[in-house]
Amino acid sequence: MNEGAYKFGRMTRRMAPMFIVVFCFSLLLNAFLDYSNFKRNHTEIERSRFAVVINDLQDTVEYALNLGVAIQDFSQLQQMIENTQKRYPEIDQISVIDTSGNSIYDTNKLQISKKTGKKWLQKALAAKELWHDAEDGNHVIGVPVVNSINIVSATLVISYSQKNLNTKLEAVRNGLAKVALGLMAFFSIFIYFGLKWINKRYEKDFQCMTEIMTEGEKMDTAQPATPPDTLLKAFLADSSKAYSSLEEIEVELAGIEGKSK
Amino acid sequence: MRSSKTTQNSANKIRVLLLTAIAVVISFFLLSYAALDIFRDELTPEMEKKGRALAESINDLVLKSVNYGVPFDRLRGMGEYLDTLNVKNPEILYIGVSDNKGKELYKSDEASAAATTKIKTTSKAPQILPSSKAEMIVTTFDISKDGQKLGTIKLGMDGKYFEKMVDKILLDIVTVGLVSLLVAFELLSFIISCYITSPMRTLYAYFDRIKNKDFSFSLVSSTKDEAGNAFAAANTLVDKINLKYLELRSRLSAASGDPEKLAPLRDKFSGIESQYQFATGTAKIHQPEKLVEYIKWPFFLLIFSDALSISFFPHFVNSLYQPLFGLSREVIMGLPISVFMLVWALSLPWAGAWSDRVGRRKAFLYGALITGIGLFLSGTAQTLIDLMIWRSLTAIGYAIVFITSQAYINENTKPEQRTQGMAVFLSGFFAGSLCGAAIGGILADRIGYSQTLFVSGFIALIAAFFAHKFVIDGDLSLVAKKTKAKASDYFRLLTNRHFFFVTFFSAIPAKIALTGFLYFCVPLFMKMLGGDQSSTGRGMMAYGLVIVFFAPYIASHASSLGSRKLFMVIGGLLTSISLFILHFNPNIGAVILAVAMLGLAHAIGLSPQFPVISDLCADECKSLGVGTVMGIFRMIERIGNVSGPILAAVLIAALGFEGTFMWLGWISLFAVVVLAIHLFILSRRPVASEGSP
Repeated sequence: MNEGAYKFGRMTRRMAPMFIVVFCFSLLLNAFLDYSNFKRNHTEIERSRFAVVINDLQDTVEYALNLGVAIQDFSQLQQMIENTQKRYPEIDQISVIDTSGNSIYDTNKLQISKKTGKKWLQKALAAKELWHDAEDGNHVIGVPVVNSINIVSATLVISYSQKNLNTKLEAVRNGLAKVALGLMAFFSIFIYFGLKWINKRYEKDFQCMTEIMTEGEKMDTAQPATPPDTLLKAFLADSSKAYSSLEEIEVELAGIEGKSK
Repeated sequence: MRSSKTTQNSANKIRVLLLTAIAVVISFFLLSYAALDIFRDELTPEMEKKGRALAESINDLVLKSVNYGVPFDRLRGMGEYLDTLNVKNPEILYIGVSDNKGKELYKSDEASAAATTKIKTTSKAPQILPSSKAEMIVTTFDISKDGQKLGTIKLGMDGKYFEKMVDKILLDIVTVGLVSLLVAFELLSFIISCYITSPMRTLYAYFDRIKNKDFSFSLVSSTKDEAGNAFAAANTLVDKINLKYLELRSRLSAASGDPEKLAPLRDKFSGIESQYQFATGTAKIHQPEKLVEYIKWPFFLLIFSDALSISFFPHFVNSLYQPLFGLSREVIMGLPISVFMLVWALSLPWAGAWSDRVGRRKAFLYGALITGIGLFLSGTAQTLIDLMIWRSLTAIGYAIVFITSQAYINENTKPEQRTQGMAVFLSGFFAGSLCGAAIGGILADRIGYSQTLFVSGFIALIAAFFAHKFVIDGDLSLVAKKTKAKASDYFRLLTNRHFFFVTFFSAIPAKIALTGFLYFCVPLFMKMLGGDQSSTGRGMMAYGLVIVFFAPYIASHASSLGSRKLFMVIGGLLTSISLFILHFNPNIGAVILAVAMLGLAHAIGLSPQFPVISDLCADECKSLGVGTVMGIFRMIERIGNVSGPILAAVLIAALGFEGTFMWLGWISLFAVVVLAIHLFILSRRPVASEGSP
């Protein structure tokens, strides 16, 4: 036989990685679906929570507007938004913006009377109902405040931190990664041994052929084992026949050469 | 022996598929179960916070009213207010307010009596009692004024919320599982061919060669597995014989004994030389058996990569919309698909000739690389013009791969196996399309359009890698030289009324339905109905799925000309019915039904088209050659591919979706009625000589 002793199971070793890659890829895709599902749901729960908060503020302000109080004169509003911020530590900032984009009331007092430079301003001014956006690592939720004749007087905006979401996402990512890696390891071994079991017959077929052909190299007239295949049998018989024909001439030649010496 | 090997191969394929299915199903189930646990742990505090916010909102309102002097048990409109909260927060099944003796004063109507009875537990303090078993998780909050408890707010959150949350993506998970199994199946065919079937056949072909007394070849194996060892053993054995021959030959020529005794020996040796062929120098290479599966896997991957964008492509175009040449928005949205189809159609003849010249391996490799680059650049497009340029590039690559794969299959199948070979090609095409459409929708929903196109590009590069590594070139000199179709050939065929009617009233309408309805209208219409990309992808998957299942069955039953004609007409009728369904019943379920029906229509009606032409245009096929007639037919039917999106866009702009479906349905119906009249009434007399002198 050629260099390199016979190694059983090499066929499986070549086949298994491809299946394992496909399997791992589908498992990762599944984990990714779970992860993005969690992200979507968490974002929605958090958003709906702050929607409750902003709707409460909206009701209060609209109630005051309906009583005839101008938004600029609603002095308790500053206190109200500051209290709300204290109640919900995730809230970074609450602003009340007039129709030209200037902050009338703001938990960040430095911002009062200044024009908001945020990208969501256009969206906020155009909105007719609850809207949301994200900017500078924060989630933003806003709602227009309308007076009794249905004209938008201002926009309430709550900006809350994504830190909570990011922490949770990290936990979910780690949790899913651990499970997915564990499953990948276990099922990769399962696939490997499963394939090995399935391939055993093929590998044995090839092994048997190899052994018979290796034996056949001795070119004995009587074959060492009965080949399992007619074509292999014919191959061995033909090879052996050709070899013995050559050998016959060789013997005769040796005889002639010996006599002449 | 060989047939038993084939049975053994099939049985082993099933075993490997089962093995993969077990791994995928169990691991998916375990992962989803673990995800449910993780979600519950991480989201329960969020639900609690939300419940607290709601309770505080109710508390503020109650206290405000009480402070105005309204008695706590006579708050008007409280039920309606709780209803509003209930509607806005569907995960809350029950909202109720009771007095300090526990008597329920107000509750949302949404909280039905059934829901009330589901309450498993209550608590005094604001507290969540998480339990996957409980159908409702109840949180209670006290309402107090000046330190005195007035009553309690009870919020019953859906105990199955987390399960429902996992259920929301259940369809996506099932889709990923099914696609994984399909991919595994395609991979399996490829691997078994590479590592088992091909080496086994190569070895048998080699044994056959030896049986014919030819020892001048040796086997080549790049693998060091069991098959490689068997090859090496066979080589060693044959080498030994060749060595013995060479040794004897030199000894005989140098022998110096009695010439009278040597002469018969030399004659005997010459007899052996004339009987056998030995390797006198380096042994010639015994070519490994090439199988169609070698190209099927990279072809599948490439189709998969391109199909990833099918479910969202019109939306992607819309996101880049800019006014162009005064065209309507709808027409502009259809333009990139038409440009792709046009460039693809125009590239095919050139791509085929180039592939013949450079060889299949190189052609596929470059085709896949160009497709990959085109897809990647499509993802970076900032304007509509960019997108059309990059889609055109993709179309060139796609055309090269498409024609190369077909040619490879043709070259590596015997004439009697050609139908089977084409079935392999078509199954690769449709399996790739349906897998790509489904996964593309899921990915686009999560990572966005551009990123999904980057993934497409990457998969096309993987296809290029496989083609480079596994596709084996044949002898280029043996590639049949194709004659170029002349204008007179086109004229001759177009003046044959059978060719004309089948092409213009069956093939082109079918392609219009494919590109205009399936590729253009369905993604837009599904979104209009509120479907996300994932559901669009799943819906479009129905087309390929129906074809994969039904096409082989239909093909085996379309054996006579009569049945083929009938199938074409049934296919056309089903196409128009699928479009009318949507006109009368525009909802997501109907879209999926219509897509599946279009798949059935095409499974039934497309495959008999060319056989009908070759039967009815026998003279033309004889004089021009079947290949030329087929080439001209395929070229003309692509008018449908190109015009489909534009026609649909113009109709949408003028009539809206429902009107478009109705008109496309009428066009299909008109075409099939004309075709039926031609095939069954006007062509009852044989007209085989028509068009020939």
